[in-house]
Amino acid sequence: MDLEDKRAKRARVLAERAQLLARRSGEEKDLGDQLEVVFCTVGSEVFAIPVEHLREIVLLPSITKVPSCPSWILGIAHIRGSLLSVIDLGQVCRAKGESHPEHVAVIHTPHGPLGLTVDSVLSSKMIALSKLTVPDDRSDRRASLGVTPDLAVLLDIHSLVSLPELVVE
Amino acid sequence: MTIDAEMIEVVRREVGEALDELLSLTERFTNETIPAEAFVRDAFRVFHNTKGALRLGGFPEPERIAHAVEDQLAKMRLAGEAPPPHMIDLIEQAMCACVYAVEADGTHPELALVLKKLIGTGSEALAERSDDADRTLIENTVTRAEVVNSHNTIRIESERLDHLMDLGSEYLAQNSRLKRQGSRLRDFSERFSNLLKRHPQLRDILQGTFAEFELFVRQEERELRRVTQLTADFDGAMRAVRMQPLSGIVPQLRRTVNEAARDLNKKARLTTDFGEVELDREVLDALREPLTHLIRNAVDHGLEGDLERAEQQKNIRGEVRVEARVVGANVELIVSDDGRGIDLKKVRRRAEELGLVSEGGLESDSELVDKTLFFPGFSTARAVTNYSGRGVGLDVVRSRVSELGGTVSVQQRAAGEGIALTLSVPSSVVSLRGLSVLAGGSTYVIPSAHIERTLRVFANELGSAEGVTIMKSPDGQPIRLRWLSSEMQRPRVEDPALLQVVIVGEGSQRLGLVVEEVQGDTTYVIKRLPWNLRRVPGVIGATHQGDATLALVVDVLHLFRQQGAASTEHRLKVTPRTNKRRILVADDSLTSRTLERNILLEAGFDVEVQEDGRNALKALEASEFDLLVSDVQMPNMDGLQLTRAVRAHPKLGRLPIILVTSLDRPEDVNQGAEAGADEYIIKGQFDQEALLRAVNRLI
Repeated sequence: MDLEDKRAKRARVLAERAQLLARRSGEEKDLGDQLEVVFCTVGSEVFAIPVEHLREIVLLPSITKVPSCPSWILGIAHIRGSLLSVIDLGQVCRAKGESHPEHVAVIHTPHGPLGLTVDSVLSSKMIALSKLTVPDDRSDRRASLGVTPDLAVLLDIHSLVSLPELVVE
Repeated sequence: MTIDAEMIEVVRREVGEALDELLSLTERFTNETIPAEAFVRDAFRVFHNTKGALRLGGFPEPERIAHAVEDQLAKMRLAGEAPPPHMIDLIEQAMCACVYAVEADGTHPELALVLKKLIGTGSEALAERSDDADRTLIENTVTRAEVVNSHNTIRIESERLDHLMDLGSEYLAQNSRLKRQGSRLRDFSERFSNLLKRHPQLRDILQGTFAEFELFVRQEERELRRVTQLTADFDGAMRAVRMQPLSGIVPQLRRTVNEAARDLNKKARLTTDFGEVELDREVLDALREPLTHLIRNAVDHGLEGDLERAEQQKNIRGEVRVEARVVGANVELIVSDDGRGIDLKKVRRRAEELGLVSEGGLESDSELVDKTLFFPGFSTARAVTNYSGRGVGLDVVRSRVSELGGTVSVQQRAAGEGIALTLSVPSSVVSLRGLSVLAGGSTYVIPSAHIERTLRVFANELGSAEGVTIMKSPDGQPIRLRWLSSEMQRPRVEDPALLQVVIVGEGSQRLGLVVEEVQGDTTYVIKRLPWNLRRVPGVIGATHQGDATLALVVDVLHLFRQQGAASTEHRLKVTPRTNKRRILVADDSLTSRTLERNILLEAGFDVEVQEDGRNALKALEASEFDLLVSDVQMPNMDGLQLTRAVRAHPKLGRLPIILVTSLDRPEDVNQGAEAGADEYIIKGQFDQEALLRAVNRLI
């Protein structure tokens, strides 16, 4: 009985995988439109972080406060050999709802690594860039490329990194 | 023949030494300490050898120059003529040009200039080549070069070395973490042992297990000592790999002196004494700029013009001297000149203009010089020259050196004897020494280079002047106080009656940094702050403590830069007495006093701790307490002496006292009672309840 179950389950999993693989190769011409992202919650919103920029997601490390920094720069942390700043993503991107960070997403930037706090990590998924909704009024939405059909804010790493308030000089 | 880089280095050194020798010859000749004949003979030899070396090194252009000068000197020698003054200058200039050219891989605009002048003198030998003497010389030089080559050296890409260093620093940090774990393990074992002593019923059950545990702890401690020793050896070896002889920067310094002297129309020479001193590659590179800056300054501001020097019967050729010596883990570089020195009146006037000192202020000369010379934008130079006097200078030098974990100080010499600046830098950046302190609940590291001493000061002995809180140093000087927690924008805790102060200094300036606790000496590896936090005022970097936490490294210079910042942030913070009862705990054991403090705090008392009788007595005198809980055996003044002192004290006489001790013989208890203690708690039976019951009985 047990064995039967396992066999059935395995068959199902294999079938699902085959479906997935088949779908991907079928849509190959659209790959330029596809972007792999990780969905994370921040406050009451969901953010999508492009995997190509993501180094790792770690549990909230111990963060050391640094003087003369604005409140959205939470401090510095030592994550696997590198020293990086940790940014309150909710505050920088003006996310709605109260954020209770439990993880730090470490992203690659042209200058070096940067940590972004997120509340929880949901899943990773391929999204189609052509299906993004770009709001007309982008003034209250910073560092965003648009909103996915499932209402996640796609993070624009380039504009995030070039926000002037990220740099203390 | 392929020219090995090592070989070129030999040629560079030789040409550099030739310039030194030539400058000393021209100097002696102009001083008339050697006759013209001897000068021409020796200068000829110097140029002849230089020519040979240049040929060997594959530097045809400077070789031509050397040959032409040699030829001129040969002619003078034959004719028995003394070289005219313009010729002396040309000879020097020619050798300088050769030095520049070999530094710059074979050519330099200066060469063409010299060549033109030489052609003007009618040199016929500009195209002549090789003779027998040259061949012998080449052979000699080859032998020298081979000696250098035969050393067992290998070349390593600096990136690989850096990677190795990074790994090494992680290793070092891990070791500090292990050491902390080790002492925690020891602590556990002691607590375990105390528990067993107190509860005989546990002893029977746990004796065997505990013995095993003890054995394990001892073994671990042995292992830890071994690993610590290995880490220290490894650290030493890593440092050695990065070391380079300081003498390697001599050519660059010499070029700086020559160029500055030529452009400012002065006569100057560089003398160096570096001995065998070696510096970390990174430190050496970082020092190049500050050093050349100091040297340019010395030629520009320090050295007088020819006329002025002649008037003062000084040698026309001014001297800029750079010496190095090893002082402990640091290297001291002393840059001095024999110029006019510092005009104190001028400096004071400028300082007053800049508002750095009040008119007729009380600063000592050395304090004044220090404050003013290193002030951003300060300059007494009359004209803004190409070289210095723009007022960017010494302050930049000081911050560069400080970034390396070093200091700069200035020594004034007798009038007209020039000045000396001392740069003290750690010889290695692999690991630096610092003091780990607690402020605003976070750990910070203060570089040892800036620390003069740590001490405790009574809050009621502080004064204030011009809105700044000051304390009296042990030598009677007033020292301004600043609170590190405020500097780091951390919440200020309430100040205890006895403040912990770290006296930091730079040059002749001093400051007292108030911290909550001094955690002890630490060896640290500094890391730069991340890319988006390049310039954070007051912080030069961070260091990780082995575990995942980071400590910021304090930029002591920054504290000095923002002088006079008299804010309420830097005053004592004492809230008015609450209706909480205050208890002073005196115990030399950290574990005991922490335990007692926590018990009492939890029970709602206000608690202050001191680690010996003497400090406890001072604290009692400085502030009001309702009760004293004291250990018996303590250094400096034990609990019995403390009890007697309190009983004999005119104001404290009636303070309730509880003695807590492991001495439980009846005569010990009697002694305590005779000294005047109200209660006597034996540590063997010590428990929370006993202490609290005794406290509640008394207050």
